[in-house]
Amino acid sequence: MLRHLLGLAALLTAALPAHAQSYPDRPIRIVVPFAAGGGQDILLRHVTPKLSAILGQQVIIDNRAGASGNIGTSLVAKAAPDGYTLGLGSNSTHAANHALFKGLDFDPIKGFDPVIVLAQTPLALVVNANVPARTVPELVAYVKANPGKVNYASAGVGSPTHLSGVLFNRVAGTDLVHVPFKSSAPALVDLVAGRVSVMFDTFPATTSFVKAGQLRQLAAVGLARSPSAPDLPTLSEAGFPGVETYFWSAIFAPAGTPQPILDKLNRAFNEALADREVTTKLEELGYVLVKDSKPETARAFVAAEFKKWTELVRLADIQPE
Amino acid sequence: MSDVGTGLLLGLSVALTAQNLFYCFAGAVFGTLVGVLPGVGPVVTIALLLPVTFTLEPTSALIMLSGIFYGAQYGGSTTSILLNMPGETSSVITCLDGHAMARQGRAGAALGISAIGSFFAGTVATLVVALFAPALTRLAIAIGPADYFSLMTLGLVGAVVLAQGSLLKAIAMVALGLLLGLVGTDVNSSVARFDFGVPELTDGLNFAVVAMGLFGIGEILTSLERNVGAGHIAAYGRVLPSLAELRQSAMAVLRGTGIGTVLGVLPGGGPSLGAFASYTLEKRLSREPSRFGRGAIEGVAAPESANNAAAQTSFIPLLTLGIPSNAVMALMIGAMMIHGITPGPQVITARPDLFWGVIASMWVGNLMLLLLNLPLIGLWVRVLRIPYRLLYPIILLFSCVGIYSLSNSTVDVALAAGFGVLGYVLTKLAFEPAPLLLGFVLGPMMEENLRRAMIMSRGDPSVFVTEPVSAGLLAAAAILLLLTILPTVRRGREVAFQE
Repeated sequence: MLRHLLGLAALLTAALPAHAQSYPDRPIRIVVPFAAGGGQDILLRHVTPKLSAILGQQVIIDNRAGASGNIGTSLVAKAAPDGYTLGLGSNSTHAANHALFKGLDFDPIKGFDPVIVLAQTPLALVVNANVPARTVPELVAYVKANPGKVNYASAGVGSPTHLSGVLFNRVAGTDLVHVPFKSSAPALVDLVAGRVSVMFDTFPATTSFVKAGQLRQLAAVGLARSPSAPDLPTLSEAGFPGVETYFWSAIFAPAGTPQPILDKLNRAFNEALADREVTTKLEELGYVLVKDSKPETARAFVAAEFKKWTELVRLADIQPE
Repeated sequence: MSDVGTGLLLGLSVALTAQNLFYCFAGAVFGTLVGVLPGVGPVVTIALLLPVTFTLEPTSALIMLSGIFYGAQYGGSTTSILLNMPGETSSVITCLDGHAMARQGRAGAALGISAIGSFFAGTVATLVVALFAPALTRLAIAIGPADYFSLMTLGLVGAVVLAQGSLLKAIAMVALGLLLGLVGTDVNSSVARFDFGVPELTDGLNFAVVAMGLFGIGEILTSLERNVGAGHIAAYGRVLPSLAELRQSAMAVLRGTGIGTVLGVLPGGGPSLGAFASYTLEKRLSREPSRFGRGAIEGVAAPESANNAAAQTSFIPLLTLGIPSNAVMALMIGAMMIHGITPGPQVITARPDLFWGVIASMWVGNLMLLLLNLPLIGLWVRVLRIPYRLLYPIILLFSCVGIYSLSNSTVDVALAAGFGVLGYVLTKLAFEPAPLLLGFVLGPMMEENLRRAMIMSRGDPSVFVTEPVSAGLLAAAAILLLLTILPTVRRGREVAFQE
């Protein structure tokens, strides 16, 4: 009888949602909905070795790229909320995509429990070195003196690099013409060649061209100056407030994940991010790490970002597909 | 010049350390293996090995990853020749004459010339990278959207020339390829076209999926009609090309090297385009174009030289600008960033050991590949002795695994099966898949650049003739088209192609 009772108890325990005490007792998978070797992927790859050590279980990265991150994100939304399947999310998967694509099979807000916001990566306003403008007001004057003639490149319709330009045109009253590319790299070729004059792109992607004298950074786009260019004013400081676009990365669990597991994961991620070696390397690469992000603050952040990007896509007049 | 000399010496001193020799060799072997396995490409392999490279010196890591990339160019030709199964996108064209040679029992000669041509092209292209990297970087930057569009136009005209039989059928196949290229998200509006609500289709069809289906699986289906019990080919002749065959291939290797070297520099061009272009040129220049598609050794030598030359020079935009010219190079940038090196114009001055080390290792790696591949030929041709009933299930299994691994997607596997059926039907109706693939590759690039050029010119189409490079390419396309459709030429063509 006792044996049966014990057996029953064991069964019950197994049937219960994973216990925070014993969690994790097997490897954890983090779905990255982007290609291996990309900016989002690299960020996480720097964190996971430390994270595995802290949690005492292997943390595996599973790249499920495609459809602007929607394929991998949908996979996470449908996974069991047991803490063993997590996903990396960004301003595209959990904010802009919902306005850009019709009929997504996941809800970026209700379908997920945010674990932590890892990093925000600010953008820079860069111009080709031959553009006769050393400050933002000079650029605005130059664009206004050449109406309809100045191009700006983007890494794709609906991306922060595109929508920053839409916002900038509105704030500064300019008419920069949008030239979309498939990704940042080919856009930078045309920017270096001078076929397009202006671009909003990340500091890591543009700084080496600035050092080589081919491009010039005029301002940081976002709330604060970039640590990699502390002398560069923000657009607000330069007199054009209201353009607050940046890339961000966050970890999400499927909705319904037990709170103790979310908390444990959050602590582990924060500890990994605080590691001196991890911090140094990521900051060298231009990521701006978020200090002490909690599940609650992450949730509020994602909700605000969702609202902001939906509004921006509407402003850019992109029809959802 | 002395800069280049000291640079190369520095590079050799880096590449020839025991540790880097080992990683170069490991990369070359890995690359050959993934090149041989149908569907499993360097992109997947490098993605899988990225975490492993974490612990390596950045230079060693890049040397190994580069080895995988150009090793795959060597290995990819093996299955193309033996089984009509392109292991790599850039070796699709090798199927045409390579497999025909294998059927005639000349598999050894085909494999031999592809290894020798690749080594020669790799050596020349490595020298070009060392000597002219900065100058070629300016070329990569100077080519604008209008020029790209005209280059693609020339390519499409070439696709028609490429075809064997009916001109009309060739044009139909190019058009079908262009249509298949439309599937996916439009760059200018982010509208998903022809996706039928399948999210996997919003990124377009994968080239490897289409090529594997049309060529490889289609070939298997066609072969099922033949005697499945027997081996593939009874005799397989000598293991190396004869002196006559070498002489026949010499010019093709030279021209293929030249074309591949130039096209490899262009972002978006790369090995596949180089292979297609050089094959077209050889066929155009040949006194007996009818031999092509029926086991002409130049039809193997030229594209194999071109794809390897292009594989080397596609490192130029990566090393000098930090700009990837294809998916593999994008991963290399990822690998550099993981090691805290920001790719860009400063790499040459900031990390000369890395820049020159990688370049020197390319030549070392090519030599290793030649020494590795020539003895393997004897082994590979023995694969042809395996009876169909054993060989084909194995190949299909590997293909499915390879295709699935492209983006961990079952949709891709189903699509490849569908394209296999299409390939079978096309073969039965005497439509050739090669022009379709060229249309499929060029179409999306052509559209993207056409529309970008039009945005930049504010809707003025005259840019295509006022830009000198673009105008020259369009003129070349027009001349080629005239030569192909002029009645007299066509009459000659039809006589030549009579079955």
